[in-house]
Amino acid sequence: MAQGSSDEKNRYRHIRAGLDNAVKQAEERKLDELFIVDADCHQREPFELIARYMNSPFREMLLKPDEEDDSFLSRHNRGVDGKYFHSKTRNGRRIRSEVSFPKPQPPEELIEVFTKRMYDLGIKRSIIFPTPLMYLAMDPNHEFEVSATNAYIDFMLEHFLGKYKEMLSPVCLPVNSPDKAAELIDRVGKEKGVIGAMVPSTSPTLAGNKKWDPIYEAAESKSLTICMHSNTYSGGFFSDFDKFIGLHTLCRPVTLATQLTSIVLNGVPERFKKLKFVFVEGGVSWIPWIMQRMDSEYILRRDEAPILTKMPSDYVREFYFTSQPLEYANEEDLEYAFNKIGAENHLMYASDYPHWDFDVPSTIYDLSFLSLKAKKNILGETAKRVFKIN
Amino acid sequence: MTLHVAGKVDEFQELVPKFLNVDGKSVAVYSFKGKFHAYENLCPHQGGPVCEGFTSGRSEAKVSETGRYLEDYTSSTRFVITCPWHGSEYDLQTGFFNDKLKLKSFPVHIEDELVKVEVSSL
Repeated sequence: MAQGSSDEKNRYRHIRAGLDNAVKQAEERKLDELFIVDADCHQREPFELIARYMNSPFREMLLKPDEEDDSFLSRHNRGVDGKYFHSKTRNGRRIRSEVSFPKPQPPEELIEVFTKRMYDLGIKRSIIFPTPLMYLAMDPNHEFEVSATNAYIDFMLEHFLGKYKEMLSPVCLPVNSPDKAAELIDRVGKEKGVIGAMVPSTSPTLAGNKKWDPIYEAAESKSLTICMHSNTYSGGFFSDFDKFIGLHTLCRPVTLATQLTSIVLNGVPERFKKLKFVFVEGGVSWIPWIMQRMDSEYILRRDEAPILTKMPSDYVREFYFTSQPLEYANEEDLEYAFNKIGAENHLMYASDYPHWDFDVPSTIYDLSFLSLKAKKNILGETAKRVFKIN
Repeated sequence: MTLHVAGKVDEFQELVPKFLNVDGKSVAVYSFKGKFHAYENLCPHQGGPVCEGFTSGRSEAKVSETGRYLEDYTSSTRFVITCPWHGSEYDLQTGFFNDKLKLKSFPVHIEDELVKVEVSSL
């Protein structure tokens, strides 16, 4: 039966799945009584609007988009077989269409969608990340990266940040131009609603490289937390995966682990002692592995990391992590990972909504091994403290 | 034992669920190859409305007689219900993803051409 035929539409007419069940979950658990912060959710940024804040020639390039050639926005965001691959089933049927909003939305619609979803789920604050913009660091045109990141925060400040207390966001940085990134932090770092500085988990130069120091100096001076957000990066050896399941199993935690290793073993926490780090959208199961791995290597090769004053894992225990996509296939393993990272005080709930593998707040609230205090911390109190949310 | 009427037998379209509201909870009833299957409309993964998702042929691996993996194909005999939230899929005839992750199922009785679901508790 061909998709889209009248028979097909009739067959699927019952499909209307929104977030009603999540609303029920929130009511049953009285989540509204908690201060829940969603530490990572997304918009699909409307580039035609953002382009208005950009300089030439990028402004003109984006205002006249060619649908067949959006490569510099998303060429690293294709999965393994092209656009939107991950939102389809193997048979090519799109699911989740009413849960997700895959198309860019104008600000007024986005505000409506976000606030409704937040109130429905008991979420008090949302920290909004972009979607295609997160892949900018892998684009060879670094001037475009500078222009787009500046334009994006200007767009956010005009429409959301400081206007709606529920909506917060880190400033996305052009990491290939650290001096320009520092200038951007200086320009907007103290603006209302700007709660951190976002850097991507895929970048040509790793985050522990001294080239990044201007970024860290600027962020530390403005008391901005570094938010290292993972990517579905399909370059390098990830390009060899012939199915998305393999790519997505590895690319997010492994790219985060790569950056974390660079940061720790190059002594960034020693050089910028007041700086806080949050590693976003990698789940938690990879963290005990990289802690033990780095410690073991450090015992053999300490001479390459003389700046460290303690074991690598000790630095990791000072970092923060967001929860999604939480690996709850085995609760015993999950509890082990929570204990290793000190989740009660270092883990933040994140939904990643509206992306396809989003987590609702009950994924944390229903964990049997957590105390009520730990649940409250993970669901919002830790984010409130780290990001200085009122 | 409480029986809840889901509809007349001839009202059911194969693979298209009919929904019942039992004490505020949603139950879906499917007709498939002459048999009826009833499940709570609640995904054990994260609580999504699983039965509001697609029903489709299950993705299977084709293996030769000597045990060699050949290719993947979509089954025309075994169907799954796919949760619209995250894509978790459950066998239409058993409600199982595996023995740990499975839909809550209910007995179905046919009486006087009526499809009745036996819901003891939810």
